[in-house]
Amino acid sequence: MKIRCIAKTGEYLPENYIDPPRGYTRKVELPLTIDKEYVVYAIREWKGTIWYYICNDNYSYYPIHNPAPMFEVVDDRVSKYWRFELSSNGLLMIAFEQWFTDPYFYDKLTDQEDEEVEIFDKVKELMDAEDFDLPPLDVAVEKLRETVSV
Amino acid sequence: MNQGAIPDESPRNLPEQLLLQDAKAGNCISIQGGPDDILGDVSRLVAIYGGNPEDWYKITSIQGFVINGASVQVHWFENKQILQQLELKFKRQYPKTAPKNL
Repeated sequence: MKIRCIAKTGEYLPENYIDPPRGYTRKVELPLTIDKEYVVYAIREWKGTIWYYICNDNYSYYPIHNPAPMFEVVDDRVSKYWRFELSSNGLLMIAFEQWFTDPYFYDKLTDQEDEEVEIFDKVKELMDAEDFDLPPLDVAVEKLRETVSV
Repeated sequence: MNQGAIPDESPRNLPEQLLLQDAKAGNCISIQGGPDDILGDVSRLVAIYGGNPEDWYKITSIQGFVINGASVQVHWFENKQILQQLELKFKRQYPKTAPKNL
């Protein structure tokens, strides 16, 4: 999945994304480039707000959440590496497997722990190069039927 | 995870000092924390410094400077109710050396 930045300051955010304790004020300016495309590595939904985890212009070793209204989706195909989790508190999270197998994965990643940084390096490499090209529906189903009938 | 208090790390040079000043002046956002994304360190933070788990955030500088070849950010924990900013750390990421194909 790829998104394109259409805004980078808080003045473009809907009211429900304004959250001063998290730093999201009308004045905030995020390290993004208008019109630049970013690969999405994870998605979080919480109380009607959607956040994309991307490697922004200050990326050094971890992806960080960014408000969805600052982007438009330019490639809506989802990663085969993604898993889905709906927590009992209503938090919806879509991310790669390692994010969920260790509940402290993102804590450790942002703390720059070697193992988690290396895992994200590998995940990023795979997701950046992910091939989404699929054959047309008729060709794909024909191929499947040939395989099943053998 | 560490069980004790972690002292603030000091800037090593002037650019790091400027980065810290910029971040503490408000040019910062949360990485994690709050009611929907409780920090892994929250039990330790509450035990040492107090406050409620949902009021603790991990914060990063929005700016990321390249200093002496490393991409540098500054991180800290912050409690939004008791207005504490604690355990400041500089995160220095050096470029990886390309693997050698011998």
